[in-house]
Amino acid sequence: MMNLLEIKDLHTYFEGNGAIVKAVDGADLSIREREVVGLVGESGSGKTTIANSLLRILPETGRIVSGGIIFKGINIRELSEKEMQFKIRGNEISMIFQDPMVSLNPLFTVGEQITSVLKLHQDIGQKEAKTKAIDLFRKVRISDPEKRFDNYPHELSGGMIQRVTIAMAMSCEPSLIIADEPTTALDVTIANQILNEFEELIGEIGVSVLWITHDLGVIKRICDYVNVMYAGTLMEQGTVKTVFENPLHSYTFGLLRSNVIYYEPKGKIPTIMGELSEIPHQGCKFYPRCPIGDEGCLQESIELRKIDENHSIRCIKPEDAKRLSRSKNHGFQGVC
Amino acid sequence: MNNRNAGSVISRSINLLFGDENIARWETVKKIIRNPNSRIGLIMIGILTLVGIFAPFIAPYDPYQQVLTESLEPPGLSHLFGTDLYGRDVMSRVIHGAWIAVKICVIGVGIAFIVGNLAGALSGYYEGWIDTIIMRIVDSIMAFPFLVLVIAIMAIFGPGLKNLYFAIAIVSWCQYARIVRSRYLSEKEEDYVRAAEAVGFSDKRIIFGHLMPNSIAPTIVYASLDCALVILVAASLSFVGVGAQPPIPEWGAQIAEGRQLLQVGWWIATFPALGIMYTVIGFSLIGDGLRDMLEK
Repeated sequence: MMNLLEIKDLHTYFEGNGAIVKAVDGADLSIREREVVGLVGESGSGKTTIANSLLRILPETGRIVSGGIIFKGINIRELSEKEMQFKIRGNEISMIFQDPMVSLNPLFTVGEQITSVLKLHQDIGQKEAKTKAIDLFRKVRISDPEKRFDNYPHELSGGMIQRVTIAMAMSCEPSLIIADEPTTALDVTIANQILNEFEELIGEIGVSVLWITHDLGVIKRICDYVNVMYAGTLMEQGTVKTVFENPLHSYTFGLLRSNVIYYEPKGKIPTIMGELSEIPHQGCKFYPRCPIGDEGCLQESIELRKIDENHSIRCIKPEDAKRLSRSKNHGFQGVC
Repeated sequence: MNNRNAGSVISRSINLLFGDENIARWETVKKIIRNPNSRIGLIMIGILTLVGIFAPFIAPYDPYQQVLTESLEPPGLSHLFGTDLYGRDVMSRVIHGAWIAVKICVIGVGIAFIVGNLAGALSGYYEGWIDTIIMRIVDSIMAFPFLVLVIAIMAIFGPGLKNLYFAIAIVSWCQYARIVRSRYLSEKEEDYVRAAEAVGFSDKRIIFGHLMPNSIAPTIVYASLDCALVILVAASLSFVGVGAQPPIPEWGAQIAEGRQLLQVGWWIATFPALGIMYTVIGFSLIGDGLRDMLEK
């Protein structure tokens, strides 16, 4: 099966005041058709920057330095700004943002905003756009869609607005939806409802999804494939089943360990000590925080390598990590 | 009580005019009308504008007609505001002056408002070299005191009303550009702008359709205050002699004419001065009210 999207060795840097921040530093990722792919990692690991690079909506200071983003056989980096606007953004790839309360323009009704997107990408008039928008609202389970159509964003709740943004993202039947932590800003019950509906919808319209989140629970629930990101690089990738049951990278293991749902804590909840900012110049980026690392990890740059068909890691000591995950003394300190 | 009735009548007629669907959009307009400051200001400026437009019909005499036999008559029944040295009716001249004041506001401030908004939008949205060029121009214009620069420009272009409009516009767009730029810089970081980009809207559409409605409010407030300032500047220039030239019935020019005659005919300078005062107060009140309503 051909990949819908393939990111090869992507480097996106931010520059300012003479300093360079390597937000994405060699990321490889692929999404097949009708597949839900998770991208997980702690804050600042470059997840959103990957999403912004895909749509080329990076802030002024950021730029894609090298690497390829191949979408349906086209290199997105080579497209002109016009082609991006009319063919890709909103039409082929659309995006759902983290905070629903600020992702809509406060001065226009939600109806005006969704019809403007429909009219931009499809050759239809106001009336047709309105019926289509109300259909979409109904699909994402917005109650009383005709009335909601004329509401301003501040008149709706966070969950409602997130439904509106989901409807907007799906409005032009894209091939890929990037969901940038769409449930993070919502409370748990609403997030649960929206996840349920989202799962149904993506099954219904057959779209690929890149789901960015901190929440391993969400990944396990809706994703087929998971990518674990740390400091701008991918540490481990594989199907959700293999990665969750048999993590081979100590970072993935640490993430899973610190989540009470998967590992019943005895006493303190284990955490990964240290901070994301401690990155060595050479070798494994996770080394300063890794419980099993030694000098060997710093010798040379470590490539992402395949363990089997559906599993690859960026670590030279998978056996040690495996042993770590089986031992009682897991190497991560507990704090609370 | 009376005031409240007047407000609700106006807001009801707005509902009738624009239909029920757009009520929310006109909430702000209604709020502005309900605010006592801006309501009084709007009424004052409304009267001024009407007087200006219908000046030829309201004014009892031709403002340019000299009747030397009636020179320097004090206010009385035949001439409510008296006559000047050449026997021209002061009241007619003040009424015609209102139209000039309105024109100065609309043209001078209007050009500055549009140019300033566009320049500020470009430099705030794109930053980079466009921003550098526009902001350095703004800095160099604003390095000079307002009045001195306007006088200098008038000295180059030559005196006259038309040049006065443009001189004022050339100098005062800078403030708008700065206000708009700072709004754009903060507003474009908002997620809804990123969402609009992600959906595939063009830059033009994002600037005019999404950012401008969200950042225009402070410039509207500034414009109404600027009108008051511009009226004063225009009057000062005409008073000094580089603005409107006699016999044009501009208020500042009239004050200049009446200045030497203050001891024999106080009314010649006083009534146009009251006109200026009335206009400035009117615009200031609107500005105050708008600021209360539009700025958080």
